[in-house]
Amino acid sequence: MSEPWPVKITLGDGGRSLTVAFDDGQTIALCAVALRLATPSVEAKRLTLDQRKAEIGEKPVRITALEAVGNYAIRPTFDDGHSTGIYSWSYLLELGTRA
Amino acid sequence: MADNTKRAPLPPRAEGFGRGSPQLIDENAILDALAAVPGPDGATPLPRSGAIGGLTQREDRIYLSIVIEAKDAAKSEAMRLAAQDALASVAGVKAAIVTLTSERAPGAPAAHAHQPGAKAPRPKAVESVKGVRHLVAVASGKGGVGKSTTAANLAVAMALEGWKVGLLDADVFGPSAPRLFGLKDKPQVEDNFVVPLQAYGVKIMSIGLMIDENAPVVWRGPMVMSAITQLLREVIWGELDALIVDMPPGTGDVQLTLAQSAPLSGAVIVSTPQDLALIDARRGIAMFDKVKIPTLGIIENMSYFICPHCGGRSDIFAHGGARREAQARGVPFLGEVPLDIAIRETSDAGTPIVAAQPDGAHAKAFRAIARNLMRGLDGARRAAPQIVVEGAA
Repeated sequence: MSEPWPVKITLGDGGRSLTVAFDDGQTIALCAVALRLATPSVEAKRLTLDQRKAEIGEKPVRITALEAVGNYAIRPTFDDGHSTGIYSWSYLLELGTRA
Repeated sequence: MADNTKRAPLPPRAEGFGRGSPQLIDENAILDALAAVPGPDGATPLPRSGAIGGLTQREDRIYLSIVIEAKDAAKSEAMRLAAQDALASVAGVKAAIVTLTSERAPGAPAAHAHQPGAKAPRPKAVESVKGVRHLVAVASGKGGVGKSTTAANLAVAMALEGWKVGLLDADVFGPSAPRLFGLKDKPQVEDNFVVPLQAYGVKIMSIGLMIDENAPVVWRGPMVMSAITQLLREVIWGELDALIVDMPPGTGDVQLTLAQSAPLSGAVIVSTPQDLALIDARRGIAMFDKVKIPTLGIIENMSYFICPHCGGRSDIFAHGGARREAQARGVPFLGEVPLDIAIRETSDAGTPIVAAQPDGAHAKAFRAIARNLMRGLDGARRAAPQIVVEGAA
């Protein structure tokens, strides 16, 4: 378990941005739309990116609640009702460094 | 009063009325009956209190859900019963089922509503089990390696070492704690919470205490998940230094539910030295790695056999495999326990060997393992990240 460990997760900008600070000093920032599109939920696995985009529509996406899952992940609730994606620390890091 | 409430609007989620049901129960009669029940504030009649989350009719059954604040759960029980009685008294109603729910705050927007000025986002940390300092899973990939016996003896040994200890038997399909601790009584229920039984200084809760020893538990995943959550949260564990969770074999629903719903301090892996068991033990460790639960160490069970007749030693399942595995994985090796008829006999008789012969060699082995574990526990788990919501007070 030598992967970076998150020390602080901040939901800012009225739920539109998520910032994660890791213990190795790096900080990643993700916007709610990107998180919503990249949901690891099984419900969305079969959808292509375009289908996912169509699903959330043109509205701006906000995160309305953030829940810790065990020791390893967070589960955000988006304002379009989607809340089944469990984002592990390593997945968040992957999303943050890929962007 | 009845007139005021007759046309009380039902929330949009109410459904089921008039869906081709042959004997339709009169909606007004239902609302009239409910109007006699004070809502969550103790005064406003239920239909006008906005607390009705859903009302469904299926043939002659009525299902009503009342939305309350989670903190009011205990005091709302009377309201729930009153509503249930009221519904049952309506003509044509065979059964009324009223449930309390607190998933959404009353009047909160439905999940998809894009409301201006919607409630500020809120963070929610994983709730630890109240009063429990360390939650420790005792697991193995493979069944039959002596996990439950080890968990039971570890719990007793930790209690002898001075810790306040509980044992949660999470093996819902094959609960063994009742037999291992010789428990026959049904646990008492106080205010909807279950009081764990106590034996040899350990608080114990198991599905096996609720059902007959020969009755099977035939459940699908969701039932298992809810049972595990209840065993964790709806049992009065009180102040504990450690709650030992005796896991079922495998890497399935129970393990995942536990890993997601409670912050575990760590996991102890029990394995026999043979390769066949070690393969599965490795899977167990890998699973806990995935969900960021530290492996506190490996215990080698059935480590060797000393013949009671000739004193010769046989390594029935080989020897030292678990120690090598621990080294290879970089996790602590907590100790070894021999294959011994006395351990089996005391287990079947309902007195774990650490309690039956507290000064015997086996008890000493378990107590040494317990001390290793207790040392490892303080400072094992990495602190959960702080979750901050900007602009929310």
